[in-house]
Amino acid sequence: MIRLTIDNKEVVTEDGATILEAAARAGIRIPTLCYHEKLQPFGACRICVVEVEQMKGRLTPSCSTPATEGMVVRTSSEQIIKARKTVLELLLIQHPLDCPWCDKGGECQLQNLTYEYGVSRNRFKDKKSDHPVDYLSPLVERNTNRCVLCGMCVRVCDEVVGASEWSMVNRGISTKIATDFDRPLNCEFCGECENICPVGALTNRMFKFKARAWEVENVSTVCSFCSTGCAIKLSLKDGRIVRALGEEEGAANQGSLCIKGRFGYEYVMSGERISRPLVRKNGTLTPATWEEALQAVAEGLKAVKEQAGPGAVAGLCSARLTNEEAYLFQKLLRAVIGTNNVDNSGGYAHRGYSSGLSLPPLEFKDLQSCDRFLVIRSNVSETHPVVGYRVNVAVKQKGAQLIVADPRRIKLARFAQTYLAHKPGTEIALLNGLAHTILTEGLENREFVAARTEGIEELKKSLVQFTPSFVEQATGIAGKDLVEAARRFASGTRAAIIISAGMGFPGDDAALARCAANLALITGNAGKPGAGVLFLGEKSNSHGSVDMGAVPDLLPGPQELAKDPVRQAFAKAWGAAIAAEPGLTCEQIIAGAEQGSIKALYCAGENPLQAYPDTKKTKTAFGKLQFLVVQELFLTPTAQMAHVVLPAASFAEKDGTYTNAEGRVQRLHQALPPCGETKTDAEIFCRVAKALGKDLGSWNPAAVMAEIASLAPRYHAVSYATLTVKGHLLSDAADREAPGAEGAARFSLLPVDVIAPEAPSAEFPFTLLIGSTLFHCGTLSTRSSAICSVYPQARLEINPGDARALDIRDNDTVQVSSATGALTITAKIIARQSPGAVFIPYHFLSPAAQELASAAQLQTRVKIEKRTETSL
Amino acid sequence: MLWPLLKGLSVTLKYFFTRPVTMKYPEQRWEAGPRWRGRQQLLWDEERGREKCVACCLCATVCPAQCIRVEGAENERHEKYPAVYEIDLNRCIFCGFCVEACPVSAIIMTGAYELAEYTRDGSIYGKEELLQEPQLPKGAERSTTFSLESRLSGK
Repeated sequence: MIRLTIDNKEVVTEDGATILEAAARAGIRIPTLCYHEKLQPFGACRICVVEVEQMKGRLTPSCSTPATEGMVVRTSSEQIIKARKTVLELLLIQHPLDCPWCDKGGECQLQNLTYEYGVSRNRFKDKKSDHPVDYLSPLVERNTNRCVLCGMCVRVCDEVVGASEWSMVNRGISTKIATDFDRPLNCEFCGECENICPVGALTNRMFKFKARAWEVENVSTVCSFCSTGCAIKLSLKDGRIVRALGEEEGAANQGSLCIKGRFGYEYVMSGERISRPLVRKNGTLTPATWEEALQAVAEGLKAVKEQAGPGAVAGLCSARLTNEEAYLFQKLLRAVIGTNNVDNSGGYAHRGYSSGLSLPPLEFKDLQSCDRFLVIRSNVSETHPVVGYRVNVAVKQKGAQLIVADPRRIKLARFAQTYLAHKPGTEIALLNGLAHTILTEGLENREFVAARTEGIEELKKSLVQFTPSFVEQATGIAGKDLVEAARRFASGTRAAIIISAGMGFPGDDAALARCAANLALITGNAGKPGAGVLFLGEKSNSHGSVDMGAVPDLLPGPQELAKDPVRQAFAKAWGAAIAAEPGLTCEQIIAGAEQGSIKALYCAGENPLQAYPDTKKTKTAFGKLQFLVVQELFLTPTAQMAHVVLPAASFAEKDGTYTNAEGRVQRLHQALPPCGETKTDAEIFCRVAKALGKDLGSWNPAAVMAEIASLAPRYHAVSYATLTVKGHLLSDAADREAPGAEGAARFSLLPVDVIAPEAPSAEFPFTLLIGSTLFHCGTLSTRSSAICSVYPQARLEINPGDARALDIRDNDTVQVSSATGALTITAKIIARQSPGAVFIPYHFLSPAAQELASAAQLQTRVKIEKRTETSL
Repeated sequence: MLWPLLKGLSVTLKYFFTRPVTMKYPEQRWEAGPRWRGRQQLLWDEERGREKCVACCLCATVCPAQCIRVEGAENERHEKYPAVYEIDLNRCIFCGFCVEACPVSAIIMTGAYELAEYTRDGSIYGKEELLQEPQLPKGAERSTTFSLESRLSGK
């Protein structure tokens, strides 16, 4: 610790802190233009100059001068003020002073400081800067005439985002911020540069001229896309959202956002939203009143229940429903209808964290203290970009080592010390190979294994076959690379394994999670901050909907349905008997509908016809349903098949909570009044129950959460009264440091089965990877025009070598066919795609990648043919 | 008893032979003084072929009666202009703060003081109306006889 005096105040600060940080700690404000706590000190603007007695009265920039013992600092004096005024005058020489129409006006650092220091006249005169304004870049507008060259955009893009799109070009007075050759932006469009810009040089095009900063009302809520759970502020003017900002206080994101969070909110105000209930009459969906629609739902469900029993009814809900809504939905099916047939897209994916993982989740903020990362089956910087930023910061600023295993050369592979390009679908063999190598080389953490785990011998036995040569044959990774990766991983003290789940990552999540947990345990990476497994669900409440029991075999908690006392407790609380046998999963529900055993389906926000594998099969199955209710924002392909469509409120129109991937419960606040006649999902569930003759209780989210807290031990301490913008970290996640204390639970190692990789066939030589792109999340983001202006439609990503062999050029139309279906799509040749595999994002309605996939197989094999003009 | 009557009549007679202080309103109208704060007018920039207003919203911000609504938008030259500029004269208190706050001198107070309307909506002036100079109704004339100068000089 260092003691120093700032403005006659004794300040104690940690070693390595700068004067600015020490002053901030003591509550002394020093003005800055180029400093940001997320970035390394830069010392460009010289606004933060202070006097240090030991430096003989010389002015020194406080942001880049380390505090030393006994330093005596003055942050304000006549000389300092004069110097700061001069800096401002110099900055204002070329500045266009177009504050009246600059969108930063009102929250501009330069404007504030000019006002604060009373710089009303400028002693220096020169021509105003006359750079052309970049109007061509989507989403971000660049007007370098207003730039103060603080370099924050350049640094945030490099140090935090890792896109390195901006740089400073030219020298001296002609220095400016530019992309290479000054072309329009072609980057991740996260808008972090625009957000961090202290002046109006980089501005948000969506916000352009919409409102002045002081006119808007900010509502704090949570982003509705991925499971990072970024806290956002929606700025409202005249009842419309004009922009989204990252909430600096947000625990998950600390003010950062990605393209989806910053520019993706538009779907909420889309003109295509369904605003009235629709009931199918004489074969067409016609607008109806809520009474009619609810009655139709009640009659439809009742009829099926009476004819074929409650087991013929099933429910699929979206992983974007709030906790309260997911809870009410499964309660509606279990307590009112009497079936356990309830699932979300978890039936196809992210079963891992409910049944596979025995470790508490990692906290995002701890990722920055990790020294090893293993990123496997996770394009984290695209699916969960803000988590990706943290990995990037740890690697670039803190020197952590990164191992990336992915068939595609994903963004993180650029910074990785080890990149393993394995064959698609062989992650389990790879993880087991790593574990085997660590155990045979004796690199495991013996102390930890002996004290805190059990079953190591069984694990060793089951891993015997995963020798480097076996793994090489299975995954295509050379034995020496595997050994190197294993050594690298085992040499760390805090290692994080990052895995993603969701519709973009089909596969056996539970087994994968188990293998990852094994690897973390044998290396002692559990029970301390920044060590463990991070399992990232796809959607905003993927984790919460499992916790809320919107899955066939779990009750809220999540607690096992199979256990009698658990079931009895819920039966008592709900006043209804709960069936003991687990319900059907997504796949089984669709299969059941096809075979006729499922006759009625309630889809709450889920869009299986666009998001689930094997569209054709799903469509036939849904065609056979006697009754289909769809509760949606848009008239999706699923809604178009429905008998009744109930219009639901979007995330901006309701209160509630989401649980993110680190187990943090965060609060949504209503920003907009409901669109048209829409109602929140919670209210609709309660009204449907009432129409069925049962009472689900209040739909007030706070009251529902109180009920959840009383029934689910994990949510015991969650209460609306105490939820702040930082959210509430669920108890088992908060207790991650507890194991090791006396009486702590011992982790158990689970033996692992061999999963043989599938062999490619001659007919279908390519492996199809269906996944998410950086720009979209699920199918909802395709309704946001800003995002679509950057990524309007799906393209087939293919390796240059494969493309050459097939005589495919960029933007050629190709026909892709699998055993299940076929589609035509534009090709994009991209070097990061591994040979023998092609990639199609699944978000879009057309071409819909899921038409090619099959639910029965983990891997989809396809053939690709070039479409010539004549065949078109 | 007669004396007070004559005294009163003398006043009457004095005014009988001076020029009248009233005028034939509405055929004749008072000319408002140069500092008169009547309804606002938005100015047109001939040189650039657009309204002077840049939709900075400072007028709307400073307005104590909150009667100004501005919606900015981008024109084809990428400039900011007011797509909507409304003043609700029902609420306006004619304080002139909007004129004072305007950084580009795009708004002035005019001499128009006859602002009565048959409906409340009629008193909400849009951008097109505000860009027009206030006009006298047909057939009406501004009184020169009753101009400000003549009032001040008392002739």
